Amino acid sequence: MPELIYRVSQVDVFRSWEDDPDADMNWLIKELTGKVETPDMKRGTAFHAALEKLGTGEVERIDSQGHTFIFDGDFELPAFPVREIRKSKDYGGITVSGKVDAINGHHVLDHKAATWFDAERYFKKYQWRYYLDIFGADRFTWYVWEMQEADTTDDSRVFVVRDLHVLEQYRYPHLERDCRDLALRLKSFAEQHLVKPGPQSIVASLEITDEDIAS
Amino acid sequence: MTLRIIKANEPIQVTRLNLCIYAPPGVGKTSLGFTAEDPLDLDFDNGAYRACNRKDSVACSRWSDVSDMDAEDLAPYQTIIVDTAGRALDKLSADIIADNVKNGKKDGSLSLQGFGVLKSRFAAWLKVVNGFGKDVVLICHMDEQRNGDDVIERLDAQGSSKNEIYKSVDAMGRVFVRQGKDKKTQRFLDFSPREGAFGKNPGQLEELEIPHPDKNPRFLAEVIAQIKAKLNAMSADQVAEQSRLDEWKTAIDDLASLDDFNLLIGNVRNAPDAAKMYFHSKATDKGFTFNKKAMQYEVKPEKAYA
Repeated sequence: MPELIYRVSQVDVFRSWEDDPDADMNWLIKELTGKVETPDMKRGTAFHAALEKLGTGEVERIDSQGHTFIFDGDFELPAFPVREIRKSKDYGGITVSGKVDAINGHHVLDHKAATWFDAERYFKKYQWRYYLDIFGADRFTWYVWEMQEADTTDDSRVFVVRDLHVLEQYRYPHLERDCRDLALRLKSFAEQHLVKPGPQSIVASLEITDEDIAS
Repeated sequence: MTLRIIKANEPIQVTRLNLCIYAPPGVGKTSLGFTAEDPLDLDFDNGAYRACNRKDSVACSRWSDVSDMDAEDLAPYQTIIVDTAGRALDKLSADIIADNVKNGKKDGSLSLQGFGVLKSRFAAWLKVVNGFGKDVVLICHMDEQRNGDDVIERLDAQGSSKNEIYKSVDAMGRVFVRQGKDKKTQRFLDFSPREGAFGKNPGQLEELEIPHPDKNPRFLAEVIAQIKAKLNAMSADQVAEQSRLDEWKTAIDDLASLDDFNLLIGNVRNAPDAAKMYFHSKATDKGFTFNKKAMQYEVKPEKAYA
């Protein structure tokens, strides 16, 4: 049996599929095994990459990976000492791997680039639960950057950051159990629908590139 | 118009709390609110009279009924109950539109600009009340959102104003009715997020059976005290962890050579997880790779280390 390793985002995709009675299984399999990057994902990746490099001080705009972000408002962001760190945890035959945007002690910070803010959407996800569990943290803070794309005359993508929403969640009793239960349901699904027989089976296209000395 | 990056500074002492309690009608939300420490009920729903343990309340028909309150008005009270928060935000919305018609739409709801004003005015009011040293309890009705056979229980508040409640509260609990240990119908308060229900549980409290106010007239006061105590314990722990991490980060930032990293491996094993991960990421940035058999870093063959 090959090792089952999934990213937190893939586990969340599985959860959203479970929650949606009309969701198609082929869609899920594609999501779990593919590497399609949508324009919104590219925007998020570019914004994250830019934030990761910022030191203390002030900026009016940031340019990253062909994207420009202009701040239309005064915003404050705490500079967490450790950024973009990956760690994984075994939930009983399935490993879930997560990469936090920033961590400070027992506090995890996560950035989201969004066109609108919907707190319930973030609460429903398991991302924050897994990050708290995998990184042994107690507090999770979303920095949701609300932005709209500006019209441009060329191919460049320019976004105006209009608002920042800070939302928090915390560790709760049975958090680990909730994470384990969902991971094991995904394991069951993967074994039934994704694992091909033979020693060379590939479950998902995930490659863990950061060998984790801590694990 | 700037983004300002500031040094991360975690709170040390939690002296006041913003709490949200939501439940379907008729399960005793207001009565529960009156078991908080020295409560004042801001009665936007005209329902305080139904509480079996009624204490001080103010009938609020306009947002200005509360925004005009000052420190002296609130001095006798420790806990301000907004009953209900959804209705209070409706009144605030009406006030915002009355101030400027551009804040509203033809159907009477808030425009995008109006929501911006609501967000800042609600946050500012909470900050003022917290600044007076008061705890705030936002009582909300519960709304059921159906998703196939599943039901999601959430706050009943107008549009995006709901987001402001989710953002502003430190803790959020749901009241529900179930058969208790004695086989009688009993009320429970649960702060944990569940499948089909939202929650925030910084106190890491298990489900709590809500006693009749005659049996424990200070039930919510005790719950709030427990949450504050847990948050303060977390803050103290966080400050210590943050300090350890800062020390490690300084030490790791000074490492330059392969030998430097390998010499520190033994010590790093006792470091906080975040420091271990930072150590590894810095080693990787330098072009080193970890050899699990040798338990040492090596120079990546294809990437020469300068």
